[in-house]
Amino acid sequence: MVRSSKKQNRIKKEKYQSVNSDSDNDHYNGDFDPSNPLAGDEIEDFNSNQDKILFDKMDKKSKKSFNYSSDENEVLAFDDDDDSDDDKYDEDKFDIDDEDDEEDKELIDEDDELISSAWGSKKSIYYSGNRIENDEDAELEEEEARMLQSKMMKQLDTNDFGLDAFKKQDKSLKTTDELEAKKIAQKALGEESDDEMEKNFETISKNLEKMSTKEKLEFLRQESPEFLELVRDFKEKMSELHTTLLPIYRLIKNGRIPSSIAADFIMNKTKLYLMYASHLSLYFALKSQRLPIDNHPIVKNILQFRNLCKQIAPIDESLNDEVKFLIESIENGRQLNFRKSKQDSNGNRAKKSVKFSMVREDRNRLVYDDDVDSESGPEMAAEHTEIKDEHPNADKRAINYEIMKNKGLTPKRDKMYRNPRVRNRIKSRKALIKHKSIVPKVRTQDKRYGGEATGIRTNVVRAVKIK
Amino acid sequence: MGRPDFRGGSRGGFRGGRGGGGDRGGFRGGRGGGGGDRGGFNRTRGGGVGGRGAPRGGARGGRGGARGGMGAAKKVVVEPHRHAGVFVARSKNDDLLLTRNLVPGDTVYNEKKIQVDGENGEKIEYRVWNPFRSKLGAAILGGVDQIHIKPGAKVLYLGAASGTTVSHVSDIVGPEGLVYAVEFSHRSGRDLINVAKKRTNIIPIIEDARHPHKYRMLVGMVDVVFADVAQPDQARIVALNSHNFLKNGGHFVISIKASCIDSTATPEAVFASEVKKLQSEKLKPKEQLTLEPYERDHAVVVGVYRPIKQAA
Amino acid sequence: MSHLYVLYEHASGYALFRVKEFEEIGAFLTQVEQSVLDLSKFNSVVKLIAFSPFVSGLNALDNLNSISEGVLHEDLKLFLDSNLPKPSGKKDSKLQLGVADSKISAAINETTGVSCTHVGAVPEVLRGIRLHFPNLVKGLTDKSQAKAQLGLGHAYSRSKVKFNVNRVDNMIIQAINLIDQLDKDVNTFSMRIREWYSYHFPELVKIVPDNNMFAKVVKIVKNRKELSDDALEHLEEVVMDSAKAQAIIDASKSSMGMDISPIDLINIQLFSSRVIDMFDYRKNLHEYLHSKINQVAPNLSSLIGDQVAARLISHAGSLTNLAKCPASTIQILGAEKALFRALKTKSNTPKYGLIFHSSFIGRAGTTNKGRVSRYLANKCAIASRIDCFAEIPTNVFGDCLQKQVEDRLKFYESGTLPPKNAEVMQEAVLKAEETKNEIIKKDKKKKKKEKKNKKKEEKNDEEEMAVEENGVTNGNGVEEHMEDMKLDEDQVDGEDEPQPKKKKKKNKKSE
Repeated sequence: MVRSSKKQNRIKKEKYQSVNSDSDNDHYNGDFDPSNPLAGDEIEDFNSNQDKILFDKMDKKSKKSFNYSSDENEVLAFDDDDDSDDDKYDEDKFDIDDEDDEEDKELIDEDDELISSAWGSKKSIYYSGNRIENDEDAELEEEEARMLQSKMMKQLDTNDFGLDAFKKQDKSLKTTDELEAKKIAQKALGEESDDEMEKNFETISKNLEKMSTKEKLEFLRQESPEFLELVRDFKEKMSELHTTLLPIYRLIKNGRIPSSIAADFIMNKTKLYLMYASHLSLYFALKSQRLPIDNHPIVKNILQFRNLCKQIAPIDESLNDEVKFLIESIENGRQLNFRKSKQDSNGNRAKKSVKFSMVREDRNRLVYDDDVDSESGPEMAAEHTEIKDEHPNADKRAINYEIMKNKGLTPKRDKMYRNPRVRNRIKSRKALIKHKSIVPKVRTQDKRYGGEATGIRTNVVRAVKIK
Repeated sequence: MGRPDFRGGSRGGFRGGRGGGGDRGGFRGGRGGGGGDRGGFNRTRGGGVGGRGAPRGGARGGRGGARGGMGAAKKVVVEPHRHAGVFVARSKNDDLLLTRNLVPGDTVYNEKKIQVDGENGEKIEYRVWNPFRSKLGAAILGGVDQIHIKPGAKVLYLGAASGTTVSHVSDIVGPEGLVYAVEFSHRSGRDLINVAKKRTNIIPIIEDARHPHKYRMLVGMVDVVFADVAQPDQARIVALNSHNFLKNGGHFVISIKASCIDSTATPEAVFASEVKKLQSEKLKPKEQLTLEPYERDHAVVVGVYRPIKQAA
Repeated sequence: MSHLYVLYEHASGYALFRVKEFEEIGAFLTQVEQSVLDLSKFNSVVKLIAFSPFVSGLNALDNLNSISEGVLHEDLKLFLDSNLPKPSGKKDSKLQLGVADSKISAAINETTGVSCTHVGAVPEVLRGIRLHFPNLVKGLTDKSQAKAQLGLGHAYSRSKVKFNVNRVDNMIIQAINLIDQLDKDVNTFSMRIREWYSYHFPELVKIVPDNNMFAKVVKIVKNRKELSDDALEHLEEVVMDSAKAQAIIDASKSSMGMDISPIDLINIQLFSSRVIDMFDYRKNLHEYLHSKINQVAPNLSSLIGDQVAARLISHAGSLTNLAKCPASTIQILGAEKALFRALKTKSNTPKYGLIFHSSFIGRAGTTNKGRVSRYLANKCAIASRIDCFAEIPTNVFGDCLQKQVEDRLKFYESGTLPPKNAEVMQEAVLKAEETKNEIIKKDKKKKKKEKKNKKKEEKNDEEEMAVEENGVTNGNGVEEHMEDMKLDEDQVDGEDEPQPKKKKKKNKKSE
């Protein structure tokens, strides 16, 4: 970008001063350029510019001129013409004012074209920042930006998109036409083709052409066994969605079914199934295109969804009966009554179990609401509701041992003091042990006398003196 | 705790390096200072040995006919006891109380013998003293201060029985001393005579000890009276014999069996009453020792008769 | 002023001391006590007057017996009579004799009329005398007095326990050991002589296999070249086979052996006679053992035979040790090595030891050997105990026990029930009582006879003396004879009491 260097230097200086005083707010001042959002951030600019300089292709000249790293730092330095240019270089480094000529020189490479990416060695170019004062500047900036972008786009090739991995598979699954073409080409060249590859290709070509649908299915099962499984699963989920989940979902949405944990569960499940179905359809699309699916991230997502489905399976089972009943009643158009769930101050549901708290009028059916008996009728149900209200939550704690016994602060007493007989027994045992240490136990000679096992101490006198 | 390798077989050259620092377990205390060869099991006579740490209950049972702690080939160290004429044998597993055999090669009651090489290369034989069969042996092991029976002493032994302890006393007093062994029973008397045949410093007297005047012709003045008669009037017997035969300043050693004197009273009371009886008869008891763990309710009382007042 | 004399009895003899005069007994006692420690001081207090040693050991034993019973022995009386100063007519000089106990003081008082005492200063003085005795009496040292005491003590004790010399098992142990050793030696020597003589006459070895015979034959044959037919009779005597004798003579003529010189022959002769003597000695020893064991342990020997019994006693160490052994020990006595080996390796212990060599075990069948061995050991235990502790041993029990073992063997063979043990034992006890009584009677008679003989001899001596002196003979002699017979009938006790008889006789004589 061509800058009027002096001006820009001044701007740079000012920028830096303003940066020092109040860095953030400058960004939001009038200096802010939406087309170039990072233009106002001087420090960032500088740093990125540093990087740019490092990674851009540099010719020798630029290298020379922008030899910011002195002789010591450069590791693999090679100097062709440095000797002659040393003095000049030094001047260039620290010369601020006189820039134009040198700038032009440096900006022309061997091809005598302007190296637009080379900014020059002048400090002022770098430090008086990107101040866009008028439209002209803005336009210039925009132009520059587009140019840079296009440049970068040119540099990109197909490899950069990271589709190499996919392309490998493609290679193995080449179409017969392509294979044949390759073969002919090889023959023309006189190269000897790999027998294996030929064979493989041959077998594959055979199979594909001559197979019937059954055989093709077999082949498919061998190739990607999970495909059929997923298809089946997709069908299953879709049917479930259609039959059970979506109606309930609609009811919940309508508010006909009060909100509860179970309701939330149904909602989430529906959403889950829907997302799963969408993923699966993408999977099928990719498969039909015969694109390689193995490393695609979608496989992971499918696995995750499957795991989640497995996780929710038990809860689903417990809720199965109620769901059936709900569906039936919806079909029959029966009236549905729900109990109100008590809510705590926090708004949490008091009930822990995942259930629709429904009132069942049908007596024969098993009611799995805890407090309600199967035999009790609606009257009892009403009572039970009252009772339930009294003990509305099982979460309320009963008193513990400490409170009930009301022992207070008692010292910790040993178990042996519980039973006086046992205590005396332990006492006597200890006393005997102590006694043994004072008076040795009398032993009789049953085996042949073999000597004193514990040794003889000649200097010990244990006799009691009599006065 | 010592290094575990030491407990096993190899004891070779390690000992030297250990010095005297607190060895326990399989080691004797403080032998590091002593010189002499240390290789293997060959030990020279060591000096005084201190106490022991870990108990030694070796597997001695179930050896059939093999001897107990001291096998035939084991090496033992024999050292003198505090009491003159008594010895102690120390080996890896057990310690034994010994007396030097007056008649080498002969045993009185099938006790074990130990032969060691003396200084001049001759073999010295010792006999093992069984504390379960001998009250005097039990008293020595129990830690009596003085037994007063020493080489060259004259001993009057009342209640000699078959001569098992008498033989040991005879070993202690040696050929210079004399043992007048008094026993009343004829059965035991025969065995006593057989023992006396072999040992010429025992004079067997088959006579009732209650009547010392009956055998006054046979007994001279003695230095020590040892009484193991187990009779209720024991004190009187000892007093009579002492008045007749015990020199001034002589000592007496009496073994008292509490159940024999008075089976109803507690042993301590019995011993106290016996001491009192002795005191009333010019016999001055000096020390008392019970014979646990070898005997139950037995005590040994040692005292002096007519102590000679040292001119201050 | 009282003269106190003190009598001191010692194993070597009697001693009489005089105590210096004293006024008051209390002060005297302390004086004596102080003096006891120092010999010179003691000498000033007490003085030896007389000492009479005993004549012989037997004499000493007699005196000791009477002293212990508190009886005044003749010797003592004599001693006192001769050495105590005769009491003069004056009454002021009191003579007191201090003695050790009251009995003898009474006896002395009774007989001699000397006032005796055993209290007061006497015990103290006696203590002093006892302490210094070796120094007081000349010619008596500490060692010699100890020896005297030793000898007398042994004699006294043995008499007390009725130590029977005939019942000493030591002889048996020594005899059986000697027999074993002799056997070995005889065997060695026989081998030697066979080898030696076969240099001269090799064929003889094969003809005469027996060692004893061989030695005798060698003695007869001498030089084989000089062997003539008249030696045939001698040979026949020795070999007890005429054919053999003939064979010997024939062989001698055609022998291949070398010649030997007369000197060599003499040596061989000497050697052969030695061997023959050894054989004879062994036989004698065998008989001696047999007779001895019948005296010491008749039951055991009649049960299992004298060889086995002697071996058992020898192995156990003494008869008392054998009696102390339980029957199970007796069963495997002699097989200790096998026993302990079996115990260690937890295999079967041996069934029999030394008792295997008795005839019974050999006769039993293989399955019953163990049972018979156990049974026999049990009976041996009983027999040995009877032998050891019975006062007068008989072989009644031994025979009964042997019969029981035989019956048991028969039972194992044929099945005939043996008589019950209880019955057998009852019979045996009765029988034993009878035999015992018989033996006692016999003993008494023997003793009486002996006494008679003794008296006769003594009487004859005295008579001779009397004849020399007086010339009176017969009447007195007859009377005395009658009197003696009377005396004999009075004595029922087996124990010898020569003293009273002598006394009486003396009394008679004096009268």
